[in-house]
Amino acid sequence: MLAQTLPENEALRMAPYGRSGVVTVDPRNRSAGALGDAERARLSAAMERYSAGDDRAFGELYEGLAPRLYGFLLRQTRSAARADDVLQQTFLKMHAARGRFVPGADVVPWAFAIARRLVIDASRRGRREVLEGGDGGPSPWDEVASVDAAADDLVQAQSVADALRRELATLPEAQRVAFELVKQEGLSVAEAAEVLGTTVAAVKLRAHRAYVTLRHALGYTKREGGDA
Amino acid sequence: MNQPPDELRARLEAAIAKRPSATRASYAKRRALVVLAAAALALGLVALTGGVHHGGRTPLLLWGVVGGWALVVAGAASVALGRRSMIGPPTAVLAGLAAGLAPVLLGWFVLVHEVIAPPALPEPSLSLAAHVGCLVMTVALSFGPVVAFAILRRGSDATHPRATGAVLGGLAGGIGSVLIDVHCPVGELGHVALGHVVPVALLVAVGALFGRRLFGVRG
Repeated sequence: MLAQTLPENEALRMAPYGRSGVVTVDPRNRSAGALGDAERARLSAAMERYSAGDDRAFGELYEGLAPRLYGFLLRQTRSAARADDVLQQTFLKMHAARGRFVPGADVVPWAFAIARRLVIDASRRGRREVLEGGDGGPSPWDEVASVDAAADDLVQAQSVADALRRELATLPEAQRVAFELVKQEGLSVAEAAEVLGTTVAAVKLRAHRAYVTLRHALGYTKREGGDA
Repeated sequence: MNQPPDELRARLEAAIAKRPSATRASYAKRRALVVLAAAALALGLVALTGGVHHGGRTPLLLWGVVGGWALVVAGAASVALGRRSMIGPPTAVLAGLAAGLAPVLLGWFVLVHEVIAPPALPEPSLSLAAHVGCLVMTVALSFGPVVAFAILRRGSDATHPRATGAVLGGLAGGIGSVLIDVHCPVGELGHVALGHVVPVALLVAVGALFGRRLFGVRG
């Protein structure tokens, strides 16, 4: 079991977002890197403009979506090369379907749903070896350890990140993806439900089960400490 | 944030420049053309085979059944396709719609006949050929909507293409069943079930079978 010096919620939220590392995780947020309503609206408006034929809006879409999708894809594929490939395909699919974009729709869950489907297809086509083995490229989990953090924090963060990665990999796929979308990608529960084609209640349940499993696996219990 | 490599954006922009895609305006034109063609095909087929047949049905009975079926199909279409979303309702909702469409249509038929026209005399039983003829005709009338859905929604579903396929098959079948009921005056429950409603269930199954291939986002 890991030492319980990090607050539980912070440890479980630790995700490969800011290059400044775990110290940037804001415990007030729903999750690290969570998308604000204004950001969602801005991205959806950009998609609407792109759908209407404004090609310049693509840049705004790319800048807003690509880093989030890339983080998600790195976690799903554990391969920088595969993540690059699927990210490119995701944007190409969005480009091909831009005329069908429904005004008022949220572009974020749609983009994640496409990316997730492409990852699943890739794995079904026998690319498991890449998905499971990785290609030695940068791992999103590596960024959990910050260059700014103190040495003890670095070791601690790396240790928690390794354990979290291991435990996440053992979760049922439905729970793992629900947890990742809500806790790590910053999607709302409703958006995650859209991405997964299920109900809000089902996503809440799956994410909660994953959370409880991870909490136990990481050694956070009500008796032992943390803020559980 | 995990920043993707800088060259990826350049590569993507180059790929996009090589593959122009339909904008909303051009897609809307295309959709209107496809819908018009599908409607013309289906209505043309009804007209070619004799148009509206009242048979022994009163107008209230005919339009009570047809109007109710049309409302059921329109309601299902509204739930399945009417959301302001690129993904649509949850898989379970789509599956429920697909599974429930044929029974609801048959239930409405029975209800209208019970309320408006309780059968006074049993109708003569029809041959298997008559049932199959109507079944084939219903599928033929659904062909236009099936093709329209296949064109307009091809490769668009990233989350639940099978369920979407099943619902779209059911909606196309539902349109076919509405049209066949305008055309075929037989009110025997067994015939309506086999010739008018079973095709809806068949198209639901076909839609589910080919949904992933037709409507799924594929890498």
